[in-house]
Amino acid sequence: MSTPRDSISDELETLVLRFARFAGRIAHDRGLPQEDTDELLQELRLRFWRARKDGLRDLSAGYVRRTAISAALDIIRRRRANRNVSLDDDAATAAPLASMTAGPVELLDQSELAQRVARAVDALAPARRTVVRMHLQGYKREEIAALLRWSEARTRNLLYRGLSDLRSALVAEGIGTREAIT
Amino acid sequence: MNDEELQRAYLRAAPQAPIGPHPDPERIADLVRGSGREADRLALLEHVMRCPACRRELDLLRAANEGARAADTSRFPVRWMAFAAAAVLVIGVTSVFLSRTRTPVAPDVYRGQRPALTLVEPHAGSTVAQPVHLAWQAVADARTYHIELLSEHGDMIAAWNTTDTALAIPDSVRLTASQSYDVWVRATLDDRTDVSSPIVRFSVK
Repeated sequence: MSTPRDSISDELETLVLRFARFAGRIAHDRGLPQEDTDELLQELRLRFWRARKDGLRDLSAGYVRRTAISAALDIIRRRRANRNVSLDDDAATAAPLASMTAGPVELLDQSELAQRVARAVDALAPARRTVVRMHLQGYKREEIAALLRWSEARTRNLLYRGLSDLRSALVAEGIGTREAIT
Repeated sequence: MNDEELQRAYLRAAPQAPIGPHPDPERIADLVRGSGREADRLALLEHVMRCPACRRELDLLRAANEGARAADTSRFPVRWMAFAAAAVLVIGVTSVFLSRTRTPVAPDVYRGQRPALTLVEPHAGSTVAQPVHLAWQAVADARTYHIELLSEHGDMIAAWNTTDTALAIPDSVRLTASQSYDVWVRATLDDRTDVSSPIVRFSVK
């Protein structure tokens, strides 16, 4: 029995492979589990194959984008519906709670510091807080600007101010030095 | 604490309880598509950034969106790709020829370290009289300088392009006394890369 992959045209497969390369970059940068991109690619192949079978001749840019996002949305909805595949299990991407080599006292210090930093972020002004959260989660400045639809300058300014506010708040609590603020 | 230390400490904190219920996936997709109001985007991202499950969904949608965008650029007909490749080759060869014939001295080459761009005037935190004069250190190989003046909230007030290393903010830009403003400069180099100065905040008298 032939599989969808066997039947798909070279053009479609080239499209999917190129898609995989670029989607894979984001997945890698963000630490997405491999299963996420594999599932997305499989879903996409099936949809392209069905569309071709139904007589669709032109895979326009708009169609590819709509199909890709709709495929991702279906995966998300399926997972939400089936909590056996828990989305809350972030073990693959979670940062270690503390250094493996730290002793009990150091662990306590690290945990206390982490909580203080988290509280200081919570207390930032709204727009700055979101930008700082995204930055500390490892999003690049251009990614933040794209998601917020802000200019590079505005993103940069709010991030700079937000980090400065954060450091000031931490210095007020005795964490860090004043020289580090500017 | 530097950025890296802040990031380590922030990521080490126990996952916080997300604010409210998980948003509908369609709303997260709207973020990626670039639709929706700014206030909604901020509120949504505030939840998503505190919620590992929603962050994973956002990243999956971003991967889908970026993958589709990149895949599309490959779908030029082959003859156009060949034409584009030939055009790039011709432009490249011409540029090399022109640069060799017009430039008697080879430009400085930066290896490893990028050139720095520093605003000389105004100083960070200073209060200056109007008209406000801006000045910055020249960057070797800079083709143009782009200057942006922003409100303290980050909104763009005015922007200029110049080949000079100084600029007086014209009267047409009305600055309010006692207000703070941010300014920064970006140099575009001959190799079309950019170098930016830090943002400098100043007030006017």
